[in-house]
Amino acid sequence: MRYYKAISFGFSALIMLGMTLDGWAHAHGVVDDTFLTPWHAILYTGLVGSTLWYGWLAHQHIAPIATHRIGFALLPIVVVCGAADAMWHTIFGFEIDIAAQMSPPHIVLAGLISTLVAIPSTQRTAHGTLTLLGAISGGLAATMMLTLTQFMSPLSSVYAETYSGGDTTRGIGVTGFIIFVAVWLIVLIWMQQQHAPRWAFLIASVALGCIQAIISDDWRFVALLAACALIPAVRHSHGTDRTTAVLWVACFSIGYFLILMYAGILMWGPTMWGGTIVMAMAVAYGLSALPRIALQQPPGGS
Amino acid sequence: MITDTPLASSTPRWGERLLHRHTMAWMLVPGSVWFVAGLYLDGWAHNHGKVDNTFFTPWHAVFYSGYVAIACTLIAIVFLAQRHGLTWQRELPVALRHAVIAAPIFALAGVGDLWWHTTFGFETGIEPLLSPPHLVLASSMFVMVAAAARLDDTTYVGWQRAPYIISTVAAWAVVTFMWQFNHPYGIVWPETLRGGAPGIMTGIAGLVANSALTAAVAIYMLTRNMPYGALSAVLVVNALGIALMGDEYRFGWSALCTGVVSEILRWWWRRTPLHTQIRRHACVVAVATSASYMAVVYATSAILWPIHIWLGAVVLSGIAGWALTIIVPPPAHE
Repeated sequence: MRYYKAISFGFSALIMLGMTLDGWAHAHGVVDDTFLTPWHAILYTGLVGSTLWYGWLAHQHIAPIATHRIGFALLPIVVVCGAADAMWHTIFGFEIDIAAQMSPPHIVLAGLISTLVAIPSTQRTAHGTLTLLGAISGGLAATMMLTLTQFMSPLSSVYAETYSGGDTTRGIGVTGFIIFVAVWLIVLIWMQQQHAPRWAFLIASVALGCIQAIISDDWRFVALLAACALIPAVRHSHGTDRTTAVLWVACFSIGYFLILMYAGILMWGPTMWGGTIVMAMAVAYGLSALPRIALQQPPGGS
Repeated sequence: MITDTPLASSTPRWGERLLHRHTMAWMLVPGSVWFVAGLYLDGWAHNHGKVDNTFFTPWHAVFYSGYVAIACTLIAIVFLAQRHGLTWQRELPVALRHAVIAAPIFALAGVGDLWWHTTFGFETGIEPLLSPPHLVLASSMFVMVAAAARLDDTTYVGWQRAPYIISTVAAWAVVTFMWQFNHPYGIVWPETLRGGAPGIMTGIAGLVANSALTAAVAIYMLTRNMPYGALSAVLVVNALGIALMGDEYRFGWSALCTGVVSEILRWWWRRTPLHTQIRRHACVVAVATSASYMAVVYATSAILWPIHIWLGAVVLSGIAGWALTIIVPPPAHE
């Protein structure tokens, strides 16, 4: 089977397209109370299609068989979770605003769909390294979780432009920024560890930027994400590269606040935005050290 | 090179014995504890209106004398190393080299802080916890107090691990102190509706971030094969330290519950491969952190968030804890 890897990725992309369009429709009031919308049609076609596709691949004994079996097994699990969600609504009522994003059945469903989207990330080349499409699908899975929690994403909820709310708004702004940076840094480090192709992180970053921009109508940060992703592309490394991680975070953080200064209204003072940059860099340093610290078992030497 | 054995081959002199890796860790512990105690004392004084506009407070005296204590310890180690023909830049363990560099950075950041205040004024609200000079001060402090933990040797067992555990407590205390701007023990968002939707979002973000941080500490302690009970001790001491700021001592129970549940499951899973243990452990610790927090709020007050949100925050914490393990590679022997 020649193109099965590309087809697997195609289903992941279809799921993400459906999710993006559904998110856009909800944000722009292009939905009503019916389940039968064009956006749901795309999303569920991708969902059902990919699980059946993985079932067929497993049946044909196409490697990695275990992963393809998991992909197929997700179909009944998602159906059960969908039923659990319906039951949840019956018992606890329908969610309003942020509760819809935080509802446990919705988070579990999003997690399962992310797993389905990430299945091509187990694809390897003949040399055992991660394929380009596999790397991008891993990035798309992270994008799904970041989109679910977009109420704290600095790309779609720009708290640094808001003065009202005082410390509460500033608190969510800084925390959301740090969480976003940490999640996307995990994607970068994972790609480095899996020897992903040079441009994989760049493509995944652009996809993340576009998906969040389509939903929130804020396109200011797409170019920034793309420009910052050039750093890992230029400093292409196999294995966790701490310098690249810290550089990426520093450039993204500084660029983010520069964009707000010159293409928006930056309501935070130098202490707030300067501190956010320094804290993000400290998180990058710590996170990129985690793989090494965690499994270092020195026999007594330095 | 400093090794696990004293430098001299037969009967080491006292100076040589001090350059033993384990002894150096013990030497650093008192200064680290003193330094961090000063930080928390100062934080407590600020939160309880025990400060005025002067720099010369008893709390600052404890804090800065703690700095002097750890800096003097580091100077003594460098001096001893030089005296025994070792070049500290090359032959001291990397953790100590970093700590030696961090000590003057701390002093320089203090000067930078003075400049920052003169240029941009004094910080208000959550700003002191985010001010760049303060973060540089905290980072250099972290490197100094974490030095003993980084000297850890997994061949030691039981009480021999004490300096490393104490140093881990101190290092994590610095992190959580600076995270107070959105720590779940600060403003207990689930029991109040005063912030409206932004308050709920802040609460969720703070809880998820705190759970992920706790999971990171648990991953570290598990992979260092710290003795049973160490994680619970670290969690409870940290919780009580942060509780000191807002008098929220009830969350000590939450930390104890998280620690005990995590350690029981660690024992239960002790025969599974380390990488699988790490994945499960990180997820369990993150979920237990959030769930026990909610349980304490429920038991002592009331959860005003809808079930969709508070239970969702617990589930999201578990995903955050698990996500951290994506970048922890399996050990070579697995």
